[in-house]
Amino acid sequence: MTRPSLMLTLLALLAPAYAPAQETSASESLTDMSIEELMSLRIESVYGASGFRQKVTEAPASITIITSEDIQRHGYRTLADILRNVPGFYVTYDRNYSYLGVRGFGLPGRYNNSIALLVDGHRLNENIYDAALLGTEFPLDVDLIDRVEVIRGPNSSRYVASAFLGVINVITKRGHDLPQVSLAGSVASYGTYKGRVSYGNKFKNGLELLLSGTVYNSHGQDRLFFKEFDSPATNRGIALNADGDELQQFFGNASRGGFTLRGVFGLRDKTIPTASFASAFNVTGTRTIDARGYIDLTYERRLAQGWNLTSRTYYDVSNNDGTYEYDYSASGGPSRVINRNFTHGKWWGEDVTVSKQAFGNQRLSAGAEFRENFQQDQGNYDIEPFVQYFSDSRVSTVASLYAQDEIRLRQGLILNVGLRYDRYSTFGGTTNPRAALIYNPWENTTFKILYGQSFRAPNLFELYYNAPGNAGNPSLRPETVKTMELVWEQYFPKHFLMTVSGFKYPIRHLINQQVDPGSGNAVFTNAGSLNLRGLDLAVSRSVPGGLEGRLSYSFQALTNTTTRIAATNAPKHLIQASLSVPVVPHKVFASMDLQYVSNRATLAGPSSGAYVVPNFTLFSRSVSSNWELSASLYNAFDQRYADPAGNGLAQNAIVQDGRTFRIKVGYRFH
Amino acid sequence: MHGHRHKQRAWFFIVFLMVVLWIFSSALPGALGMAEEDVEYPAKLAFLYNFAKFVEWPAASNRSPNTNILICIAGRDPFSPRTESELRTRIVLGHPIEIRTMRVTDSFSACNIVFVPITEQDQAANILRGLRGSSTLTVGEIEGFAARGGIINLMIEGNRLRFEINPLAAGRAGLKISSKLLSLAKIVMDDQLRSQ
Repeated sequence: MTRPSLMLTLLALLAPAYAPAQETSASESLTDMSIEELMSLRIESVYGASGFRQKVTEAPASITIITSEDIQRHGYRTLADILRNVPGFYVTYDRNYSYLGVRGFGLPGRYNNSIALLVDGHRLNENIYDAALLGTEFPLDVDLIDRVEVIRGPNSSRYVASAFLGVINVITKRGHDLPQVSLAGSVASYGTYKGRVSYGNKFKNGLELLLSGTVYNSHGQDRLFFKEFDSPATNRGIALNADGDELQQFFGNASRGGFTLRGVFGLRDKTIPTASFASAFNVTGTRTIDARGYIDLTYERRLAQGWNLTSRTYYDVSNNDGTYEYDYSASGGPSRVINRNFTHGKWWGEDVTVSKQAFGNQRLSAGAEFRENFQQDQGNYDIEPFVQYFSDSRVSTVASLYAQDEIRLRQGLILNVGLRYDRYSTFGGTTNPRAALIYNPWENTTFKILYGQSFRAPNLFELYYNAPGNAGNPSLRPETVKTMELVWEQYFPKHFLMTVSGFKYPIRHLINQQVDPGSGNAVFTNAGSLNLRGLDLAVSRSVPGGLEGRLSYSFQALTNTTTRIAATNAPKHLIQASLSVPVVPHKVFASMDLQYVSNRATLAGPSSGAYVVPNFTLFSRSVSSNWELSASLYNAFDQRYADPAGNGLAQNAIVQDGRTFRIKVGYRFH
Repeated sequence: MHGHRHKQRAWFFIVFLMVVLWIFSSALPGALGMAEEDVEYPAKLAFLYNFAKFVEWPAASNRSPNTNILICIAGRDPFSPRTESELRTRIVLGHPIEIRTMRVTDSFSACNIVFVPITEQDQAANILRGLRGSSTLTVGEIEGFAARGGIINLMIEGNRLRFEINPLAAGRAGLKISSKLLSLAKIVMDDQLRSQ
């Protein structure tokens, strides 16, 4: 029996276990709870799906929420670690950046521009590639995350472009979550050290403050073997000491009254061992430095008659500086030339939203957004001897209007409709609707019928990157997706929740890089047409203050509509399991999570094999929460596996880390 | 060699899943045996019950033993009939609990507790005005409810239920709130006082 069909059989065996045995009353035990116990119950609610807090079961999307408690118990190190455990998601790493695959859509080379990554509602995607950073390049320490809301499907009626496949809304902690001074330090495999110091307080005058700084340094793997370079001229395929990773991060949050001021800054320097973009192999000078930061001021105010006003003003910086060592000796040139490839972006923007609970059964919100990209620079040059290959400077704007209404048609029936218009100075305007019908026929059952349209605007790299061998295409149109999804959420006694979701995403005008036969240049065109179909099945159990577990299976097929060939890096099957059990109640937790990812087609050559990676963490905290200690083992059974590589890499697939560990200690002075 | 590893991993995988299934399907000792539908409103109703235990009404307003503690829901009732009927079987210090759903335009002064759901936020100010001078514990789930003269406001912070108490409003209604309840609450003042 192959593994996927084995899994299906096991899932089928699961079913009888969940037949509701008898009707036990929810209120019985809740009424007997003390106030303290009631205050420790977890209320599932989501903010990012509609822009106001709502029940997960009433949100117009399929949603997964990960909390700071999950992050601690499972020893997640980065946002990428968090997301690889979200049902239907998988992460690909090319030893520089981490890329998210969503429901089988994980085409290489897109730098996560098909998802909208938000931190406290602030958009993190930058303004050249629309890239969202997820690994160590994500500019925020995961210790500062209060929760992550993952909202599947297109949300273009509420969020700016690149919410093509979904929205990830990261909500950060506040001053009272990390009172006084707290410290955390960790040691991990491959000479990896991390330290954090934070200060939080809520003052008598109402000011709430959180300041935090993080440093991280990893030597990385001493030796990495790439069989494509297995020749005497390139050290038999072994890249020595070329996997280093270093970062510094700062986070600040101050709020008082209706005002909240947030600042985020992260600087990451990663050595690239893969000889990307045909640079020299086994050198230590090829690296990218990503600097990402922003300042964001939000203001919330209650107006008369139940209206609420939210305003956001922000200023963002994103610099990506790549340094590549080239060896031109084969063509008679110098044997060491340093090449620079950079993108520098700056932008500011203003969003205003008003919302109102109207007539008791409607929740209306409407908003306007404006963003000005006043710096969008790209360039490529050799330093010595200086040769400028390409340089491009742009400015652009995006203006948007949207409205959304949640209507309670009758008890247990909600209609959610939204419409959004965006005007880009680069290509023009686009209008995108969405609608959702949410039906609660019985207390423990929810059905959702979801329809939405979305788009991804062509980015500056696709429009204007004119370095030799490439040609920009200023006439690109946006990619479009229409999604239809059916969701069934069913609660069972003893804290079980089952979610079944079937979906269909026709993707049109896909922006694809192709070689123009006339000029021989790589050009982006609106050439592709893909169909994504699939099914998610998840069973989860969450006992207040105790066991948390989830088992999910996802089937998905992403195929080219004309050739019917499966797309690159699109696994058909995903199985994800996660379990956390209190060993000593409220103090010691044993947790494990596991990802199974089936075969994935690569750009050229054989598919990358299936893999199973289990991770284990033991987490302990003292009664007063002064001390926290965790020990983790990642890829515990030392699975050898590789992720499909993107354009610009000679490798077919990039080898991943084997078994690694981490020990983490935290202390709070309070 | 390779095949052997492969087989080993498949076995590990099966055992892992068995363990997961076993833990999932067996009720752990100490696990609370409740049907985990959406927990928010059952929990809020349980809060109302707890408030009834930790608030003292003035001697005049109630009540000889056996008179009911009357909990009134203003407008749309967000609680399920099942959780309500369960609460009706409870008795607090000799007083049985009675739950009544009322129209927002009704008079609430006979109620011991009035709950104003989020759906009636437009009416909250009217309801509070109508209750001036009566010994009724007003409980809302509306931002700013306590700051605008309500006594207790339930809210969600992060993923947890929290509550605000306006002690001055409680004093005006002649209610005594236990120090235990106050110690767990976030204390708020009237909006007007703050701006002075």
